[in-house]
Amino acid sequence: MERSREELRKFIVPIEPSLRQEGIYVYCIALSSEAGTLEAIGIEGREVVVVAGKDLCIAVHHCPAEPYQSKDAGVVASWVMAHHRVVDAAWRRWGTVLPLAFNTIIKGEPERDATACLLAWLEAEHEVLKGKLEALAGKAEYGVHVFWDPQVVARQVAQSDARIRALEEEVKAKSPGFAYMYRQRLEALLKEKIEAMATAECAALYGSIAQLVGDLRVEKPKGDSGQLQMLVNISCLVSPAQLLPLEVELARVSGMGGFSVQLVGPMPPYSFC
Amino acid sequence: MATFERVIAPKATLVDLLDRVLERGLVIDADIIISLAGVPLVGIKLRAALAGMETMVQYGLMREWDNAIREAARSDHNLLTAVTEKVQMQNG
Amino acid sequence: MIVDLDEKDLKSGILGLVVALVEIIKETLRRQALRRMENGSLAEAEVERLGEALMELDAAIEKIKLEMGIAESVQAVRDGLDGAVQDVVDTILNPWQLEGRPS
Repeated sequence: MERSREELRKFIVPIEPSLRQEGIYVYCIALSSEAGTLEAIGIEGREVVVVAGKDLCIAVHHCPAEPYQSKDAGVVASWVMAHHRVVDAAWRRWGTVLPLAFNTIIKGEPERDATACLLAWLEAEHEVLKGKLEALAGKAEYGVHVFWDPQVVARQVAQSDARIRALEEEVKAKSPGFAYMYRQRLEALLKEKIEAMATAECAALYGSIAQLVGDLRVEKPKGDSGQLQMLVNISCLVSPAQLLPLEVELARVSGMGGFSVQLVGPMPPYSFC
Repeated sequence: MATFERVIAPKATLVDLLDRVLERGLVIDADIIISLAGVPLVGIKLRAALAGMETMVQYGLMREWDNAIREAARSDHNLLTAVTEKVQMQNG
Repeated sequence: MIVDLDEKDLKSGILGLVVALVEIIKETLRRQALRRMENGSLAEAEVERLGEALMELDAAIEKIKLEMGIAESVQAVRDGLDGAVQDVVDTILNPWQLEGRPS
């Protein structure tokens, strides 16, 4: 007996629920309605697909619905590199992007797959995302690191401060016992002077950078480099017109004896999302 | 020796980018995101290993960084010259 | 708006919380204001007042950020000073052979 099409359809196996819950790895969002592909530059060579909403698009790749995890530093390094590579490519293509953190994966629901969830979210957040992208247009993130060599600065202050030099002369003219007692005094005085000078410079620098850049975020000054100790660590959102004045100010600071400056960037605006 | 380093040593760039890729970026509300509650996806030791140059060199990832940095440096070269000249004028 | 903070606040992590909180409040106020402006339920004088309040909040946030940065740097300066100062003072007092160093 020939089965009707209707009956045959009943034998078609529906898509497995687990497949419908497959995940989407999200790299970044851009202001564009251009759908398409960024080719296979994604994590583990996956193709990066560009999903487009109303006037926003998202760079993603399809993956199992679970986070990327590994104990192998090399493997994780390649994933992180790939993540940045995609964000960077998107940045070059569309000028401004909202990067997402590594390992942002959308999951599907029983009734709705991950793509549908993502598009729904995009629609709901449309105004907010558009506002953020417009605020970031044309800008880049830079890291400002200011280092000092405390010994160099200490020596300079000791040599140039009148009170310390006077005390020095006094001490040299006296006996070893006297010198020993006055050592404490000298150290305290020197510390006080250096601290005042260094913190005044840092305070002035925060103030001048705040005037020069669009937005800033204070970071912990960590990552000393040999003799050099980091004193200031700021993430800055900088427009093209602001870059040169910023560099001039940083060059001025690095001209001060014992201080060094590093400017890292341009980077996509990870810290200003 | 006071310096202004505009062309960044790979290590500084690497560390800074790493921090940002792992910890910053837009946050999407929890409902549609997969996460393992309370478990950091990249632990401290792994983090430290990532920041070490050795890992990058070992896995042949340094070349990509080098190229990216050189390219950025090239386009910024004129900018740096302009900055240096301006500072010299102000000091001189 | 008076902002009065010190290093104790930094150490207890309060500054970060304050910044986050103030930014959330600001964002909420801004969105509410926009909505009311759009449906015409805000008088001009109110729009002006709200605008000013938001500007004040902005300024307060900026001030707190700078204070946080300065506090971080002060801490870093203090941490880095001890060894350096001892070395330099050694050099200054070198001719006098001091018996052991004060710890």
